[in-house]
Amino acid sequence: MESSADAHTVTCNGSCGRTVPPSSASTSGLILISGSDLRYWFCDRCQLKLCPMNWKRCGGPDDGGTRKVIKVSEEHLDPSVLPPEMWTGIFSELSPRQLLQVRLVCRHWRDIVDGSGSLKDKLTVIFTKSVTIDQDYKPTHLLPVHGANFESCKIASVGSWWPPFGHNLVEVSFSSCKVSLPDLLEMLKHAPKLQILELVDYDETSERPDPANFRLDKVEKLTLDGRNITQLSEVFLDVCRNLKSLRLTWNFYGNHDDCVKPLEMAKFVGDLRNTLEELYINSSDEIVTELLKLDGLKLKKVALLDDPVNYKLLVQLFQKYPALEYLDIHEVVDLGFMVEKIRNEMVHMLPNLKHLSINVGPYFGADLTCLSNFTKLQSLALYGYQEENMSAYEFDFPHGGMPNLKELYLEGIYFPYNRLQQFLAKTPNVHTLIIEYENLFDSWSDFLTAMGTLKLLRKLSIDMITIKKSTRCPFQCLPTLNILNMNLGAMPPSLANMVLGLCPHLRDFHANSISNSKSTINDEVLRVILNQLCKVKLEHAK
Amino acid sequence: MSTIKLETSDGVKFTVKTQVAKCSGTIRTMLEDIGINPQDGEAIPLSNVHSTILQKILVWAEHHVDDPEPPRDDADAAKRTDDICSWDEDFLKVDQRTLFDVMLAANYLDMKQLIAVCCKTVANMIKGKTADQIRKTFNIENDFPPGDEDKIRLRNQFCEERR
Repeated sequence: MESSADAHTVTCNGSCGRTVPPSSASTSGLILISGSDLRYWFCDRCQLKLCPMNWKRCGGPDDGGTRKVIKVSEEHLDPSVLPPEMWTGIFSELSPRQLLQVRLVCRHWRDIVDGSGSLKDKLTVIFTKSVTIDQDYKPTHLLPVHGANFESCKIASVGSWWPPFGHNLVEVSFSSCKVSLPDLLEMLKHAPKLQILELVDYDETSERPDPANFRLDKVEKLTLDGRNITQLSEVFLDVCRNLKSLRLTWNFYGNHDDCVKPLEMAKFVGDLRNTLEELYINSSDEIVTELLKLDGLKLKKVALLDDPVNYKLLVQLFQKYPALEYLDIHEVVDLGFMVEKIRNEMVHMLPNLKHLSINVGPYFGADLTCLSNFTKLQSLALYGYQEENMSAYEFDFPHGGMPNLKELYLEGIYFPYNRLQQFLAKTPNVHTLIIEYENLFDSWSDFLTAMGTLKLLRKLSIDMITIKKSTRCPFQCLPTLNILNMNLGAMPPSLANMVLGLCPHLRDFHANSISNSKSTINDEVLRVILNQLCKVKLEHAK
Repeated sequence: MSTIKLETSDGVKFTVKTQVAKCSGTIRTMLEDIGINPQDGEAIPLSNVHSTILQKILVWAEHHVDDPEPPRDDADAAKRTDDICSWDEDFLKVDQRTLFDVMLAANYLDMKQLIAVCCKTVANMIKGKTADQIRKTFNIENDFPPGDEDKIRLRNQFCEERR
């Protein structure tokens, strides 16, 4: 919109867009000259919205009037116009992938991103099984990130690239890697900032390494393979002296008794008694028995994994650690196996529990009422059995229900009729609900009405649920829902459309297994949703 | 209603409600800690802020003067850039120069809420764009030597988003 002297009217280039006679444009407002000869006129009001600070003036006000003529600088934006900390603030709003693009824009931005830690923190460098790391391996252009994963790598020795890369690492994981213990220690020696170290599926037995001449005092979380506990415990007791969290897991391929040494495992745990707060361990009666013999541990989190444990041993464990805040025993015992007296006493043994993962057992009519006595519970995971008519549960929550519960996870549970709704009515403050693996409901109507009872629901994840009959339902709007992960394959198309249409504040939507037989989401609904979302992931979309 | 005077870099004096001026941490500190007494009629000099920008910032401060303190962020609340209120969105529909100048002034005046909403606005201008598109949006010069950029691209391929 170029204003020229011989036009009958001149249009303001500001937001008002009004037109004036040339005579008035020549005495008021502001003319911008851009480049060699493009001229833009702004009325008095609109020119106030412009900022002349960074424009080069060419001459003073001309015509002696109030009109000013200013030449627009056509120079490139100098990114250093903003101080680095402001760019950092802007970049912190972006996802890692967007940050990678930002790095490519110019040197100044790259230096800011690389220097700020925000990118380093969000990215992990992954070395996959195609990689054999030996003297000839020289990865170039490695980002100075905080996390690295080695997955099924063969590591013979590391070259000069490792020390500068390792120096930045905060978190490193080795899973199924072939690396000798001395070589591994040589790598770790150059990672002084390490806080989290994982050695998964690692049972390399090697010659006894020399005593380490370095310490990793910042390492708080350690994951080791229990099969190799003798050698590993000796090494890491020496190297990591401030461990707060220990995970001992392993996969059995051979004879159970050959590879697991409960006594040595318990000894390792006992040696960490001064600092250890969290223990995740593959369990058995023998291991729990040995753990019960230890004194002086101050455990807050315990997860017993994998193998069943006699519940009487568990009761002893609860009595020994009354300060527990986190307990995961869903793989080792069923609530249904516990006699009622113990079920009800559990709450008195563990008054501070904030998280509980438990299997409620295969018995029809198992009573969940005891759960509501854990008044501090914030997060609850209930696991059931999948056979139809087997895992229906009774509960008779007292009036208050579980008001502190924020997160609920359900797996393999059958709630007949409107039982889910009744359950959720007693957990009114749940904001995250995850429903996975073969949960069963009688109808979509029951299910969706139940969702509507959660007035604070922000995140909902639905996968692999089975609905007995599909009926039309009065579905309530989910006004607070931000994040929805769902398996659309299980849902009738019309219902999927409606569900998505009724979540006005959805911003993160992850759908998988969209059926290809019929279009599951119609284009119109999809368009509406796309407008709402800032992050969309469609998996297996066909 | 008490007022104070502010003087901008180009010598324009503004008379502003004290309560509105106190949206600026810098001015608040001057009044409360250093003990500048505005009753003297002397204007507080804001030597880094141009009158056009201060005018804009005062409009924002006037609108937000009664805002409650920002809630402490939930630990699990993800970063979102879509929570700019529509008034702010309209307010920041300005050319980039003005936007950056507002940010610089907000920084100098220590107005955290305004900085945050500006950062979100600029972040939204970056989102979903390739490096090339970002350069075009902001008219930034590509100052990587030819060939160097490819190496950086390659370097990025090693990475994956943390789960």
